[in-house]
Amino acid sequence: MENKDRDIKTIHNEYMAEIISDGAESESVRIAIRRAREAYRKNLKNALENFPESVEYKEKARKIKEYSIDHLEELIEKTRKAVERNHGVFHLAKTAEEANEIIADITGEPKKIIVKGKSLTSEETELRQYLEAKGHEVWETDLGEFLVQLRKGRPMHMLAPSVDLTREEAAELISKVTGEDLPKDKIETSVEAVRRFLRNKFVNADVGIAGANAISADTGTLFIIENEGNIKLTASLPDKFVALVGVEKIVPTLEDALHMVKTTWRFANYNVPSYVHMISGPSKTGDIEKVTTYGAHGPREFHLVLLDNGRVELSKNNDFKEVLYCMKCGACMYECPVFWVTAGHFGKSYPGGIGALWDVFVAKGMKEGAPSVYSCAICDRCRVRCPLNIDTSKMIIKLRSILHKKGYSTRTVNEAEETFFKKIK
Amino acid sequence: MRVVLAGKVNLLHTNQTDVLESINSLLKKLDFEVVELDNEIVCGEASINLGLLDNIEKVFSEFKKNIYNLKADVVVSAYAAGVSKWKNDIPELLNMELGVPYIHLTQLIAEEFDKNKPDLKPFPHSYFVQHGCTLGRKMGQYNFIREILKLIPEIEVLEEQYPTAEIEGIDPAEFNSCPGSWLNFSQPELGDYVKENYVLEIVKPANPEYAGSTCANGHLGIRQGLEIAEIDDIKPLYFTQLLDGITEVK
Repeated sequence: MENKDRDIKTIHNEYMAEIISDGAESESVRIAIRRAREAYRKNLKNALENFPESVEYKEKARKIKEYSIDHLEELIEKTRKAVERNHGVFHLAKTAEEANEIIADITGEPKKIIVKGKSLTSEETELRQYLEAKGHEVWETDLGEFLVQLRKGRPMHMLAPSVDLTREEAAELISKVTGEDLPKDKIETSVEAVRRFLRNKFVNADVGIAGANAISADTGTLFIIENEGNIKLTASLPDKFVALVGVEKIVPTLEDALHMVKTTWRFANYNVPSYVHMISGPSKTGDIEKVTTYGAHGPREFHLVLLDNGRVELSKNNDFKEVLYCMKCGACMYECPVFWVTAGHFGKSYPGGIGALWDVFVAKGMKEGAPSVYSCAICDRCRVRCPLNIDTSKMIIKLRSILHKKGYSTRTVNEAEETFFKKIK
Repeated sequence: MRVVLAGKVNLLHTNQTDVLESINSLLKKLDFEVVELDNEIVCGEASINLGLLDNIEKVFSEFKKNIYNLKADVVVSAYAAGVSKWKNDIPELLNMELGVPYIHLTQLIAEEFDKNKPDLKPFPHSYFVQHGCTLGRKMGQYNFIREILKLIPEIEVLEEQYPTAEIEGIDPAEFNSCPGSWLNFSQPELGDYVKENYVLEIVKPANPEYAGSTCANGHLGIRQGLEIAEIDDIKPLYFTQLLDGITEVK
């Protein structure tokens, strides 16, 4: 993904121009994030009051991730065997481009209707754009992601892609695509309009694509958390279902996967999500003579596309492998002082401080990912909020020394170096 | 006790001379022999935080030599990062120890107040205190400032609260918001918005008359934020300024 032709000054300048003009200077971003932060804290308090034992989930979740990342290649292989045993098709993509090509092959000839669930991994590979360029009609079906698609933007939060939009802005965007004059102050009418609009797409879709929150290597089962019901339709109505998932989501057992998703939803501020799907293969029936026959009411084909894209290498890097522990619950972002004024403009494919590390090591590379590493205020509050206790600011500081050696620092850091060490020189 | 004050250069560089003067004045009132460290080469902690590691061995060796030459009993600073770096990072990064205790001002003053119980005049005002990110979250030092402020008659101390802290068994200060001062070094254009937002979203709703951080860097963020947001009914007041104004000389 790294574009070696762009000079670092241009990369920094473009980033700063966007983060200031679209983020920091936007009053509506501050309002939307303030509302979201207040709602997040209120909901989290409610969830933790109802399920106080969740506080103890954190330690076990961290141990599961530590083990899983230390045994990543072994777990990938175990997952392959389980998926094939379940009559699914297993794919391992080394790069983002490879993942997109695999999915395009599965999808087949152009002009297919594809419904898609929210997935940061697919943002990393820019899958929707890739499939659209191949001539398919692709619809994001998560409401927040649908809004991202309408405004041709990118997700502004790991779980809430349109967290930077006010209800008024959302209504205006939806009105444009449905042709209705929606009231600006009523969230319910906006939600209803999208429901009506997308229903037809679900029914006629050829392929459904989603991500997953965890995969159990022993059974090859995907765990997908959702609230809207769009994944339920995406994963069951089309003939083909494809899951595009980063390899770091694999954990050893079904119980471990359940523990990880429980921790994810609780710290993503839910008492319990409306749906948690467990998908282990194509639909099947054994109702006639107990003979297992594939392709019942749900998809006839089930494909798991695991994406490496630098993750396996990162899992072997003791200074930075903690990056892969991130469950993408998005809790840290509600506490980040920079995110409060910028939303996901702090970051590129992945938002926030932890997102800066994902951008550098996975999605964008050192050079293109460098600017957001310098947006971190290194205040360490994300670590306190993170259920996995990920020490993002410590990794950011270490990464800055690597970036500086490569000449990717910001102008002011270079100036600071001149000033600081003048006396020594 | 001979106290070497580190961080002077940075206080001057950031136009916080009022803070520097208050530290000197207060420590003298408390009978400390104060020696200012005049020849600091660089803000060493900033070098590490910005990833400028090439020269730090030289910088910290020089710092150590200066401290040794000044025959300090203790080194103190209004900045938390230096204390933290010598405690946590430098032994690991450079296998180097300072050889003299290096503590934050809040610790020195809290211990002194506890020992000698100075006479403090009432301060009938509300004071919002931010627990500096490094001193708090990275070093766990929340109580020195609380012990100090508790001794002040008539003060109303305000701290940022966090709704789940009690359920999670975490000191609410662990969740203190950050005024964004470190961005001064890396992306200052962005830093101004973060500082402004901090005072608008966190300090102003608490409705204090005065506000300050335990750390001089956090304090800089608060005073710059107040200035950018054009808030003039909340005055920035570093805790040594507060104490210097109410501590009676025995």
